[in-house]
Amino acid sequence: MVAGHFGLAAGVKATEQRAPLWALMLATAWLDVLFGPLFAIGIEDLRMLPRGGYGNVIIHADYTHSLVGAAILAVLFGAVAAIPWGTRIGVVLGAVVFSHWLLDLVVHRADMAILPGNLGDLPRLGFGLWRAPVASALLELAIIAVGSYLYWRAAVTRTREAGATPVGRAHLLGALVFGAGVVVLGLDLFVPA
Amino acid sequence: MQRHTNGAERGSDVSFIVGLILFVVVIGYLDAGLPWPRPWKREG
Repeated sequence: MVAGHFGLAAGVKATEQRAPLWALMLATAWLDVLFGPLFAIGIEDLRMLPRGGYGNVIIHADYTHSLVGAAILAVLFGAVAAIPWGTRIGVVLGAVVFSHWLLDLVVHRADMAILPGNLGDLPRLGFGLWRAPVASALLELAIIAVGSYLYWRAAVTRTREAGATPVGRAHLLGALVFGAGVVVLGLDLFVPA
Repeated sequence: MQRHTNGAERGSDVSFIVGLILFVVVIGYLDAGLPWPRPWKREG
């Protein structure tokens, strides 16, 4: 899941309007951002399943995507954000970081560790919606649609209240959020494996 | 996020990178032009 995470962050912006959108978007992708270098140096790993393509993967991201690891990374992200922006925004951004783990829990096969490094070899978690790729893609699309709608509605309302910026910009941004989400989901689905 | 073990790009790599650029950089920049309440203005 990629696009769904961004859709969720857009929806959060509608209710937590002081949080910068770029920070919400970065927060929602933060676990994957950290996964990149850890994968590159061989600490975290993934294995494509024979069919390849959307969702056909086993991911052993045992630090960034373990339950406790994700919680720690969320607290750290929120703590750093709280320095310039205050406790409330820090808590919101930390929660958005952790939301990544919750959404991944729905789609991943049972490959998500509980403790960092899979300490104790505890049972791995994951509800496995990726086994039904159409359902998984529809879930992502629904999150994008709801998130971009909430963002668009809040942007238009805020712009009208302020009365300074043309409302057209809010319409454009709402469309951009939805369109970018669809493009990203399409790339995830259709770029050849 | 999915990656080839040989480092070549796949769909999720492309979508993740494009997503970061579009949402964090482009849309994040444009959104800053809307009249949202500013984060550094503490309440109270």
